[in-house]
Amino acid sequence: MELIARYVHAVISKLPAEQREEIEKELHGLIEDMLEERTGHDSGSADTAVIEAVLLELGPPSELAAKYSGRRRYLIGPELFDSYVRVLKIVGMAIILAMSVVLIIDMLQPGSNPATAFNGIVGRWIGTIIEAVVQGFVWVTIIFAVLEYKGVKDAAALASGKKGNWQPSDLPPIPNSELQIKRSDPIVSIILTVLFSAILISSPEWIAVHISHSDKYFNVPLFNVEILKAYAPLIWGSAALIILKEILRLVTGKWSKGLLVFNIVISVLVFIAALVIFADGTVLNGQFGLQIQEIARELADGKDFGFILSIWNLVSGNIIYFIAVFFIFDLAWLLYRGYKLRRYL
Amino acid sequence: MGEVEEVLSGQLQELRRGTLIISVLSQLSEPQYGYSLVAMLESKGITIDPGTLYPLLRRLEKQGLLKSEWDTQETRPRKYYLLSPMGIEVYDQLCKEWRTMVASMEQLIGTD
Repeated sequence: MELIARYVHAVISKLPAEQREEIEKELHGLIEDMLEERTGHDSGSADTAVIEAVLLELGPPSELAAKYSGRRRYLIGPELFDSYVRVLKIVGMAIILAMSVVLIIDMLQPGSNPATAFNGIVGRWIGTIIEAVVQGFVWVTIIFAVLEYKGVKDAAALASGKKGNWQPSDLPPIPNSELQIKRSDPIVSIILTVLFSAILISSPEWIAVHISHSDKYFNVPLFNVEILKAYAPLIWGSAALIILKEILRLVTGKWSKGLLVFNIVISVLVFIAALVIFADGTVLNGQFGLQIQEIARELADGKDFGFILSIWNLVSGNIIYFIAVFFIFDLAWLLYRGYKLRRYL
Repeated sequence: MGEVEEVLSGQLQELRRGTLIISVLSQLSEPQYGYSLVAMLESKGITIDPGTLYPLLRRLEKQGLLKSEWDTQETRPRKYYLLSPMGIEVYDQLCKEWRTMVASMEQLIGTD
């Protein structure tokens, strides 16, 4: 009898609270009926073997509960699965490609013996690549599982902000239509974003002016590495937003009003992140000018690197304006897109 | 199990699944509780396991095709199901469709 109670409990514990009481009663009744049929008399005297046979016939409690709830038990269902696999492949390739580029740059660092560097680096980077791929896998899976849970039937509906029935106007455009987003665009963008953020976070010292002169090698980093490291979460966050945007562009393959608005929102957010990072200028290498001048003194061949210095001063002094101009161009391009496609959207 | 049997049993399951609802509705012009319905269908050659039938009955009730009542007079409480007016209408329509389908199928697969 205890087995029956455990079985019924296992089933109803997986069901919505308001249905439990009735299904519990119903299941007890059913099991007793089944026992009675088998033993030919009162179910109370049934032995364990008969009870087990009845429960086996009813099947695993989780399956019975699933039949009762009628809910689909998918993490990612058939409607989203194709998109999921496609995005997974692209993100995986982007991560492997970006990490491999980082690996190669690391090996080519002057002053390191390529052979020994190769040995040490290969081990380290295989680990890093596996870790990065697993991260990518986890995040893509989480995003798609949430979409599934929220009942987003396909990513196109999500991006266009439309829910409900499929419409002929939802059809993807034929190639070379103005509405089409070439698949290569978002893929290249995802790869570059992963690559750039990986370098910016793991090896910002490579982003530097490299000076190689008569067997001597100098590099002067553009960033204040310590301060840049503190902004890592912000950089990852921006990269994630950009990748999310590119995934939507990739999956929908077509411009829509929702997608344009979403693009603009993400551009604004990334712009704000850039402003936060560059606002007080401390993220740039404050000693850049001094370090360059020191190298010029050490080389003592008349070079004063005046050109590099004037570019540096121009850029570092006005970095906020450069970022603003870049943002305005981006925004203008998106608005122009919207204007050009206004008869479709 | 050979490959043919395996595929065949999957196809048969699909084929039977479509007939379950009409089978169940056909027996509910008189009130029945779940297990009596299993026995009743069994005696007429339709096998349905209770783990499928009980959830199905609840679903049909939720759709408004069946109405139910607990009978607490007997030794143990049982939930009796009966066709609702809407269920009667839907069942009639399904029967019509079924007959048309049988006629069409006859034309397709023929009787030599």
